[in-house]
Amino acid sequence: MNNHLPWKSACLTAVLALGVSAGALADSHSADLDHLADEVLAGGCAGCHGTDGALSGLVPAIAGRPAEELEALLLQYKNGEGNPTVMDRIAGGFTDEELTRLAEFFANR
Amino acid sequence: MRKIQFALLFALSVLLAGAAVADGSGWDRHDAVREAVGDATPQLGQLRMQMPSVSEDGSAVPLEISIDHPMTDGDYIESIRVFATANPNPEVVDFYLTPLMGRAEVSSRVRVNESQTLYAVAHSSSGDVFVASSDVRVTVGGCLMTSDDDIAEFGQPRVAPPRNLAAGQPGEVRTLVTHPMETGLREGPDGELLPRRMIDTLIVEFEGDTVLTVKMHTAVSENPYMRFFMAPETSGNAVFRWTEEESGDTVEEQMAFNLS
Amino acid sequence: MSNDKKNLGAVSRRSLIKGLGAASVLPMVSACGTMTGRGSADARVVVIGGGFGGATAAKYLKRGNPNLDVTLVEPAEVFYTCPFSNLYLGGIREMNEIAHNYDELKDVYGVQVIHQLAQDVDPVAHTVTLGDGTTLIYDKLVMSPGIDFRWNEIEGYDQAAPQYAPHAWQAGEQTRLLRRQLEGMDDGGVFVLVAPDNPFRCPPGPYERASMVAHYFSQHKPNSKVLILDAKDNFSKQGLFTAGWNEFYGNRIEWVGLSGDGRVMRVDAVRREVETEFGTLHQADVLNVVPPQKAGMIAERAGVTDDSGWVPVNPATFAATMADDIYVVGDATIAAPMPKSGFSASSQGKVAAAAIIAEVAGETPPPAYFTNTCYSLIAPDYGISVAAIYKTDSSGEVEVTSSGLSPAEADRSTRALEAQYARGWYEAIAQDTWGTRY
Repeated sequence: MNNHLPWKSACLTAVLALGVSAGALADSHSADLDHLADEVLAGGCAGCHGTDGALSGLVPAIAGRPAEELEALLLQYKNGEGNPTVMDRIAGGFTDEELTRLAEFFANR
Repeated sequence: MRKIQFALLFALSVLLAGAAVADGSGWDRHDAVREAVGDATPQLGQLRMQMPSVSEDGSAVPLEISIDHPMTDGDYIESIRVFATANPNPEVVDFYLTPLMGRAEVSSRVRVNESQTLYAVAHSSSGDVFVASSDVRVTVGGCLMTSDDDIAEFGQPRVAPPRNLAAGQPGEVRTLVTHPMETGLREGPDGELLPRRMIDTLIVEFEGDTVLTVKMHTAVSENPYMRFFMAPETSGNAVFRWTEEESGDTVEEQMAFNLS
Repeated sequence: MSNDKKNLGAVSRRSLIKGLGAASVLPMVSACGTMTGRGSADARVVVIGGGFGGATAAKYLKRGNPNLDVTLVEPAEVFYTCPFSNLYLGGIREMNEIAHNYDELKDVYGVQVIHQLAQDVDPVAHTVTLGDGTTLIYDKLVMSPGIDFRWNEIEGYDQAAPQYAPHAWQAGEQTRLLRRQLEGMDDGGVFVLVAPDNPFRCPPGPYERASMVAHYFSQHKPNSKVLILDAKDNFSKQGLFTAGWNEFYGNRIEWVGLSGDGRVMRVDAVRREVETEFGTLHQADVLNVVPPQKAGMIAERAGVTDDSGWVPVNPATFAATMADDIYVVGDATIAAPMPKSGFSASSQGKVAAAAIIAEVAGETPPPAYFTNTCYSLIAPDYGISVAAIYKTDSSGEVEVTSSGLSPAEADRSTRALEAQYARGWYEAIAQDTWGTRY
C-alpha cells in the first residue's frame, strides 16, 4: 500500500541530498515502531492516569512504580480483589501477558 | 504465500459483502422466505425495506417497508411478510393490506437477535411477488448497558390519527399498545423460562370494513408499534383491536376520523 | 521521550525546509498565503478538529514520530468540552474549568495549529480547503469532526430554534444560554429535556444533565421539576440512574420513554411547546432539545459518510472505508460497540496515530486496543460508571474483552469515590489531550 506513495522515494532523495544517511532514518523508524505496540496497548490508561501514567492527581500516578508492584496490583484487580471501583473492569479486559507488558511499560516511564 | 491468499480472500469477501446490498438476492437460501415466495419468480428492487445498518439496541429496531404500487380494488398489495433468518423464529410480522389503505407502506419496531439479513416478501392481488432485504448489524454500545425494568401489562392503546385527512388521500396512522410480548424463550431472574405471552393480531376496521390485519410473531418488540396509512372516502369511525393469543383478551380503541 | 528530542526534531525540520527552498522536489500549494510544503518531513498529516479525538491524534503523531509535519485545523482558540458541561449546568463547575487551548500542542509538540474552519476536502487531490481559502495538502488526513444536527427531523427544530430552546450538545455559548435560562426560570417551573434515539453523542449525557439540573433545582428552585421525553425505551446505566434519582430527587425527575409516548415529533421553540408521537402536548418553562445527529459536516464533504450519515471505518486503524489516506475518529464514526464518548475518541485518536506512523514507515500497524470509561454524576458526591476494553480480533472486527457497570448495590463511600474518580478522569484526559493543568 505504501509502495505507490510518491512522496516516499522523493523524501529519501531529499534526505540523501542533504547528506543524512538513509540508514539512520530507517533505524529511528524501527526504534519508534518497537514502542508503538506498547503505546497502543497502554493508550487507554492515560485517560485516567495522564500521559505516560505520570499525572499525580485525584487518580494515583502509575509511571515509574516497580513493574512487580504494578503487575501484582493489576492481577489482583483482575481477580476482583483489592476493593477496586473501576479497575476490575479495566484489568479484566487484558490477558495476564498483556498486564505484564503494561506493568513494564509504566515502570519504565 | 498463505498471507497473500488470506489477503485475497479478505478482499474478495469485502467485495462480495458490498455486492450483497439489500436488493433481496439470496432469498432462496432460506426455507421460510422461499415458502412465502411460493412458485412465482419474485421481482427484486421494487419493494423497499429500510432498517438502520447498525443498531445499538437489537430489542427495538425500526423497520419500514414500502412499494410504489396501485392500491385499487383491481390491483393492490395484499400482503407483506417479514423474516429474520437468524432469529430463533424467522417469522417477524405479517401485514395483510387492503385498498382502503391507499398506500402500501408499513412500519414497526422489531427484535433482531444478532447481525443478519432480514427479508420482506410482498404479494399483489394480481399475483406479482416482490422481495427486498436489509442487512442489520446489531451491537450493544458500551455506554448503553441497561438493566431490566418493569414488565408492561396489556393495555393503554394509543392511536395518532392522520392530520388534515382528505377524501381518498392516504393519511398516516400510528398505533401502540403496551404488552410484554414475552416469547417463551427468555429466562427470568430465577433462571426459569418466562411463560409465553404474545399479542396475536391487530385488526383495523373503518365503518365495519377491514383496513389492515397485522399478525405478530415473537420478533415484534415489546409494546408493539405499527404505523401505516388509511385513505377513507368519507368521515367515519375507525376501530383498532389488539387480541392476545391463548387468552383471547382484547384491547380496543375507537376513533372518529373527520375529513377536513 | 524527552521534550528536547521533540524540539530538536522541530528545529531541524524548519531549517531543512529553509535549506531546500524553491529547489524542493515536492509540490506546494499556495492559494492564499499559507504554504504547506513537506520539506524533509516523513509525511504531511492534517488533522481536522481539535476535540478529544483530533487533539489526541495530533499529539500522539508527533510523540511517535517528531519528523511528521502535523497541522491541526480547529476554528476555536478555546475549546469547551461537552464532558463536565453538565456540571456547569448544575452550578458545580465554571466554564473556565472546561476550557482548553492549543498552547502545549504548539509549543511542546511542534504541531502547527490553524484556527480556521475546514470547509472542504478533496480526497482525490489530497487537499483540505479552509474558511479563508487556504489549501492544505496532506499525505494522511485525520478527521475528528464530531457531530452535526439533523435539523427539522423533529418538526420545527431548525437552525433558528436553539436560540430559544438550546441543544447545548456542543459546549460553549449554547451551554451558557441554557444555564441563563435555568437561572431565569421561576421556581415551580418545568425543565423539559428531549432525548434522541440511538445513536447519539454521549449516551448517558441526557440523564447526567437531568441529574445536574435537578441538583441545581434542589439548591435554588425546590418546587421545580425535570421532565425527560425520550425516543427510546432503554437508556445508558438506566438502573443506576433511576436508583440515584429516587434517592436524591424523588419525584422531581420524571422520565417518559418511547412506549409511554415520550417520542417528540414537533417542537415550537419560541413557545417552548412540544408534541409527542401520540399527540400529547407538553409546555416547558425551559426547553432543552437534544436533536437527532449525524457526522460533522466536513465528513460528508469528504465523501466518507454512508447513507446512515455516519462514517464507516476499519476498526483496526480507523481508516475510513470510503476513501484512501483518510482516518476518522470520534463521534462521527460507526464504532459501536464503542460509544460516542470523549474517551472513545481519545482512544481511537491514538490508534489512528499509531497506524499512520507505522504506515508512513512502511510497516504494519500494531494491534488495536481501545478503552472507554463513562463517568456520570448523579449528585456532586455520587458517581457511577460504565467501563469497557476493546480489541480488534484476527478478522479485524472489534471485540469487547471486558465491560461492566458500577455495582447496583454500593455504599455512599463507593459512590463518593467514583465521583472523585470522575473528576480525576477529567483532569487526566484534559492533560493527556490538551496539556491542561489544574
